[in-house]
Amino acid sequence: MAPSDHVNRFIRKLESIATLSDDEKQALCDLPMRLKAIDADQDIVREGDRPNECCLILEGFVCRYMMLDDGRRQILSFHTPGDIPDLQSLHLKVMDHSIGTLAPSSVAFIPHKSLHELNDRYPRIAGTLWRDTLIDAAIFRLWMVGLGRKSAYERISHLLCELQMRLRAVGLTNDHSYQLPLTQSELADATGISTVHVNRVLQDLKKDGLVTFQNGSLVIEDWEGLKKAGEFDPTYLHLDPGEVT
Amino acid sequence: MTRTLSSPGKNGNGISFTEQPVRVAAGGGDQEGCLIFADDWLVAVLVRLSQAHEALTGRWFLEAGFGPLATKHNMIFEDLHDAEAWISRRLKGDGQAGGRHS
Repeated sequence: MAPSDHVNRFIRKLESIATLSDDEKQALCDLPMRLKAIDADQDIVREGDRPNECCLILEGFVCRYMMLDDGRRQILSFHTPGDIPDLQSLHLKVMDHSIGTLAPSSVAFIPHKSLHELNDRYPRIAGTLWRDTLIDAAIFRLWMVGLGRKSAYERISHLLCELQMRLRAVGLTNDHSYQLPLTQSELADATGISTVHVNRVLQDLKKDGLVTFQNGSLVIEDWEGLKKAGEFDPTYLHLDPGEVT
Repeated sequence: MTRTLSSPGKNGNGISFTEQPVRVAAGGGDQEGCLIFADDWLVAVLVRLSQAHEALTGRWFLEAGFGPLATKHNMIFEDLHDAEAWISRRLKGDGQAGGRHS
């Protein structure tokens, strides 16, 4: 990946939720970034850490999660290229959850100091990053509705729709298909159901003609049907109107 | 059809287990199930995992556990005897001990 490409992914992500001027884009390009490749299933930041930098996802698949004492894990959110999953650490000093990779990933660490300076000089960028964390909160609200009130079939359908919209916004879909490097166990930890139920739901989604899986990619065969199955309305993602179909 | 797995006192805990085969509309191709009664109380519903579950095919999944058998863990057993042993321990108040979960 050329040095400019990873910044472009970040800019594209921000432009999916806001408008940026050329000056603002240049300021983002000028941010110092420390690049790092990380294997699958490794922590990037742990609960209790006091980070002094944020991590921008360049490639791969990352999640936020919390562990219970007996080893049960709840995945709180998924993050894909262009996301800064620990943007909150700019203002909340102690991590109250962990962030880890689910697939081989590359990330760029950006010093908090540089982000604070950027926000001071470019209030519209500060506003955009704030907007991003607000959208994060909106995503958590929808996950809460799913975990609390939806069936396993509805939850997984909704999640697959959400990933389609978010990945499409950063150019990582091929029509209605995207790389989904998640195990059934990881899907189970995200949706609060057993791996057995995840397997059954995936079988049923295939049987119902909504999705297929091909070489690690999810193919949405019936987008309208999958949206209906998950009761998916993309309003909560607050994407640029051009990104929503 | 029911079959008593162990008579009262035989396994040392005074609980009589009975299993009753049922068909379960569990989805995903899973339909072979078994109701487990302990002294006439329905305590668990187990479902045998179909070929769709690959390495887990043929094992028994705790679809529902009642009372002390309620758990958020993903309980999967090699066979019904394995399940019964776990159920016995739970009913005797043996906390989380001995459970196998994934």
